[in-house]
Amino acid sequence: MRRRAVVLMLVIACISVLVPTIGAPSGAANIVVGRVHSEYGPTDGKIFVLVIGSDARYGNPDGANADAIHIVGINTTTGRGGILNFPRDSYVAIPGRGSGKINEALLYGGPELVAQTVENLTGIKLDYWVLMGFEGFRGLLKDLGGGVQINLPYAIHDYGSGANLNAGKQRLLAEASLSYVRSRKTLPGGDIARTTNQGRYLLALLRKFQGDVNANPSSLFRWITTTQRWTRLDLRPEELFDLGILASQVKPKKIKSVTVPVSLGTVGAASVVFISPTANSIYANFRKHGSL
Amino acid sequence: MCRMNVLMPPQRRVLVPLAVALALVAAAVSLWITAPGAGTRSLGAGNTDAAPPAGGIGKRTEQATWTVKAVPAKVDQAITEAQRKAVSAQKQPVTSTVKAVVDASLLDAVALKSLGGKELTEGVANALAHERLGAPQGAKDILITRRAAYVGIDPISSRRAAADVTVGFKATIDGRVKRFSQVYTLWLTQSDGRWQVSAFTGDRYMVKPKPDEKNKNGPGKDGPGDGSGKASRTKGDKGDGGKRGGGG
Repeated sequence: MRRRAVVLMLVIACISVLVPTIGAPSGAANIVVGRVHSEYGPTDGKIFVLVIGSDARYGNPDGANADAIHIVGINTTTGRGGILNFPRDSYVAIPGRGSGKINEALLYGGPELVAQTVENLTGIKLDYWVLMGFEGFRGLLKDLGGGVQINLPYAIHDYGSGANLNAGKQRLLAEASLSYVRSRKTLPGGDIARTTNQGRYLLALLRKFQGDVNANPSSLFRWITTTQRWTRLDLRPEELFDLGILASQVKPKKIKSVTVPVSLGTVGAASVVFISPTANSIYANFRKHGSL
Repeated sequence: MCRMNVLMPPQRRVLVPLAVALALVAAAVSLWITAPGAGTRSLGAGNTDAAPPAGGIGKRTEQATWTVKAVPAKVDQAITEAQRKAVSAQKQPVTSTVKAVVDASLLDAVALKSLGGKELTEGVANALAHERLGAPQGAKDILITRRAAYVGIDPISSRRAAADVTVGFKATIDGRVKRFSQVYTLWLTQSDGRWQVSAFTGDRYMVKPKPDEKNKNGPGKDGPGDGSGKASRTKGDKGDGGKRGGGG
């Protein structure tokens, strides 16, 4: 339970990256956390959390595709981890729906169906899912304050997201962070590049968290209360505390972000990406070690 | 002082002063025995600035006084007066636990073991013993030159705390005086009225010795030990049972 809490906090802290969207429910809570299975248990100290971002938003409440899908895994024994990123147009089998783009699973069956789809695809038994929207992401970052320090490998000027960012090291505040993780239209690689950027942001957020806690360990309590403010979850405060301690001890350098290899294609009139068979070895490695 | 009666028989005039003198001597001895730092004492929660003498049993050397500050941790909401009072009530017990654990890890391995299940969870006690956080192996004549702790107590629950501890000490290793600085982060939880360290991290650094402490064989030679200026980092949490590593 404690191990899971750690990974979950890590994921929650990073969540903001993922998803632009989801029609935020009224109220401050716009991040929702759930357990994938009612009965679960850590497997050899590995915890896997599915992070989902939806494209539903105010003004587009019916749209509820998953624009960001990531598995965050941590091996609590070795302290190593991984973030496995799935492009939203990945053409996969969706239980009860035949085949389709992976992001449609959210619309058909909510986060539970997304989790089931990903489990069937990868063979990885997931422990939690986290669903994130705009408001939660923005609100969480604003309340945490100080922005997130990140090194961008290239400039991003994206009219769709509003991003206007130069390459290099910089501090992204809440709005800039949101635009960064949403950007795709002008990126070389489009959605695949966006997925990779989200993983990069996740790690930057972890470094921010660790920087705060290393400078002042009791700042963990501020992170906890801020996360609780923007999140609806059934974790006890003690679990969040344990989570935070473990998150403070995981080295970002030991967490690798990998985007599944894909190739472009079409199905009917729809543009999709096909996941390469070589991804199977990535899944197996991740499943076995809890890290990439 | 009893009043002597001049009409007492001669034998009593000798015995009474003798009895008084013996009583005074007995009182003086008992005061000496119970004075801090004297003789042998075991550490436990509530032990204050008086740590066991350096070098273990029987050797009296004063350790640096603790400098401790315990405050309500900053959180993303206003703290009520009731919460502030609840935090105040925990300052003394949580800081006592911090001091006891740190002192034991540096000065008294036996006491450290006895803290398992009390001031330390069993997992942390095993991890501390396994990782040898504290004075390096073979260290003697340990003298703590600085002890400081900054403790943030969770104001929402008053049952969780984080302590940032800095300790400076010197010790003799293989006949050479070496100086160290050690930084701990202790994570504490309270249950059943008892504060326990449930996780910790620690870094130990070797510090340049003072001129009068330089090795007899010549300046700049540190000999075996931690390695000049390099930190050794250890971690442990309540489930580890002695294992190290990020995330437990």
